[in-house]
Amino acid sequence: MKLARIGAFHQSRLSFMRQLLRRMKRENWVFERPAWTIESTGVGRAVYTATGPARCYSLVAFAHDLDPSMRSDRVIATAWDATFTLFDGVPTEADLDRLEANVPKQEAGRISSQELCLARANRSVRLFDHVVEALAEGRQPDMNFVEEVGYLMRTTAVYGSGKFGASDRDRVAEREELSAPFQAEMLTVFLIRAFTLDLVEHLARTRAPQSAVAIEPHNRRRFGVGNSTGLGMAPFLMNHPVLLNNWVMARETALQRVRSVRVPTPDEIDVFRDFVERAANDAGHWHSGHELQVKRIKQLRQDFVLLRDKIAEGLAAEYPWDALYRWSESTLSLEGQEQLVSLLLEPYGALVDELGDTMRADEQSAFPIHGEMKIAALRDILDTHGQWVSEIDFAEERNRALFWYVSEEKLEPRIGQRFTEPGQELEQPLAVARDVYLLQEALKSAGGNETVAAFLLRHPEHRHIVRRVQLAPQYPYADIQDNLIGQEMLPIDLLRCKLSFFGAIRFDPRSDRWVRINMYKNAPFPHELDRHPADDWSYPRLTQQEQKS
Amino acid sequence: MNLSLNEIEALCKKAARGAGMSWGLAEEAAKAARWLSAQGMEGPALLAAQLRLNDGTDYAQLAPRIEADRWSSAGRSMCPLIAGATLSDHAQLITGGSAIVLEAVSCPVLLAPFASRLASSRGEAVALSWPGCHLYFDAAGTMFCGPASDPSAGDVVAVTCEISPAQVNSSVVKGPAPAVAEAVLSYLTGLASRTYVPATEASRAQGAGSTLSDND
Repeated sequence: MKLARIGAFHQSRLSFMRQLLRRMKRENWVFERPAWTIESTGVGRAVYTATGPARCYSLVAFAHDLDPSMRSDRVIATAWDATFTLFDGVPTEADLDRLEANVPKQEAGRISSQELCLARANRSVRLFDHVVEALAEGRQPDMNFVEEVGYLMRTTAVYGSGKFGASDRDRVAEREELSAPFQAEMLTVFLIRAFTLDLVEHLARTRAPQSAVAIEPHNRRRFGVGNSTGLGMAPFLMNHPVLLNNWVMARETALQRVRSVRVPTPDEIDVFRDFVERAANDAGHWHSGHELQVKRIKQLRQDFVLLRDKIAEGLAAEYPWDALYRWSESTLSLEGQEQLVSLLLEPYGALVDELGDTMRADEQSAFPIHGEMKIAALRDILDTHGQWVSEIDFAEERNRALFWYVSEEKLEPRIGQRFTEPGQELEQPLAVARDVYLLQEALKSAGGNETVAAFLLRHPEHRHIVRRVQLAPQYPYADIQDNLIGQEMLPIDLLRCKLSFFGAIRFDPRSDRWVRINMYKNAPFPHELDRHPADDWSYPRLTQQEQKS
Repeated sequence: MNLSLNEIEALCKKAARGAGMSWGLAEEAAKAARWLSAQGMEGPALLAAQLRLNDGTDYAQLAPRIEADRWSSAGRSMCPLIAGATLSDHAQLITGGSAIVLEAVSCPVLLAPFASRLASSRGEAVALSWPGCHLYFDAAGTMFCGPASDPSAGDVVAVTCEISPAQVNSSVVKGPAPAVAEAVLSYLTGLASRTYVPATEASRAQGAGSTLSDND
């Protein structure tokens, strides 16, 4: 599992957004907007309530009048166009007043165990203003422009799991609707999207009550929510090895199941072909200003040409998906290979969707160290599962060039140059390969019959990495098998991996350290969920014009 | 201030590291503080008391010296976090029915999270006792407090850890996590800040890799 590969992952049926929307449709969730007090200036508050079979959750949104000079996506910003929290239940007026005193302050405020998430968003000023203006004049917005930007607002943080006083995950993890990873966060963003569209329509109406129109539903669904993510998210995959394993394992198992299909039904083949066309069309709208991603998108488009040709040649009579996958490994770029994996899952909801239930993790039970293990057995694990580490020569400076640290100024993860910047003695324990290497060196002087317990009593500095190494036999995808402190390491690969599991699309790196994405683009809105086909939105159906081209 | 358990764990991990523990032991210390808070005890305050003793003291002076049934301390007292992690590491190595005496442990209640883990990983009840306090952990790791026990009792004490003890009249320890006192918070935050790297011009320019405008 290399960085370059996980950095090419695409959203799939197993993505957390799609899991959430499938559940809400299946369970007939009801959505309401019990409060909307937004003034013509765009300032005020709104509440959106989502009610499922067992409980309800409310997005509480605060819209602000932001001085444009204050608008920044950086985590260090102190003011935003809109701030949000996901409330557990339906908030009372007193709750709303308490939240209004805290949520707009974000990190500087406090929320409580009654709240599950804290989030904020900034406008894409140019599109936001264009849409309000067009609607006020009774016109639909320029859909090419909408397609180019993709969203009215970008979230710049969506915090959950106990952050800033919010509910701990432990408290709600046993709820069926929240048991899959990041469901509260995905619900928050789903409702934020609805809020952003309601807001532009509201502002257009207040500006020109006589002439204003709403966005046509088909056009409306083309808007997603943007997100801007930086290094703060990067250590997550290293800090949650069992969770990462379970995500990748679910994906690998799903792919394995599809590759094991001997003879697909004609319907399944049709669905696959249809999704290839839809995804190919979608790739035509994927833009990035970043040199690396521009190249990858170009390759992906070329890969679609090859894939269509390959399909047109005819699929193998038996195990066609397996054959296609093997073909892709030797023919397509990583972007194309990983895109194909996601597309192969599309016809097989009945086969793969249940794997969503395996993507949570019991991290507590994986925590204790097996002290009774003999050093010989630990060495065996390293020999069997740690081979990838020996491919990295840590004697070379370029393989130790970077170090991860937390910045005093921003209290955020950062990456420094080990040999030119100060602070390497304060390195965070994220250099997995290097630490495995150091452990291997230290083990050379330990007796094979010694226990891990005795070794760690003498060598507490290896405790964190021994804990990790002991996970390897049971969790084969717990580690990104790459050098995370090498000069060539691209943090955006880590970000893309995680964001693809969320269900993000349109990855647009702004540097090697932060990336913009789109979420829920083309999805039905809450009020449309019941009348739209289930889970059919990830790549939109082609318009007649697109079918012809 | 009311902190979530997640915040307690995150802060305590950094604080323990800041006080000189290895990352792996800092993880143990943070989990221990979280566990105590989840039982309604003052996890961060208890951890802070121990970190004051650890700060500036060599690991060798804090770690237990292990013999079969008697663990002694090289220094004035052994650190319950290191002793607890070591006890947990020995979960499958301790012979049933026997008792281990940990001589001279400071802040002994910090051993409780590890005793709980010992009990649940062995699937056997465990008892921890020191003058003024008897704690019991059933086979699932649930903590019970013996009659007339005060878990905060004891400065530097000898602690007996027994597998499969006789059950006595005891009550389960459970409650909401108490608020964290400002003094404790500020001490732990101060230790945590030792793990941060001050900004330089280079890091401001490069650290987050931001050069493009994000206001568009």
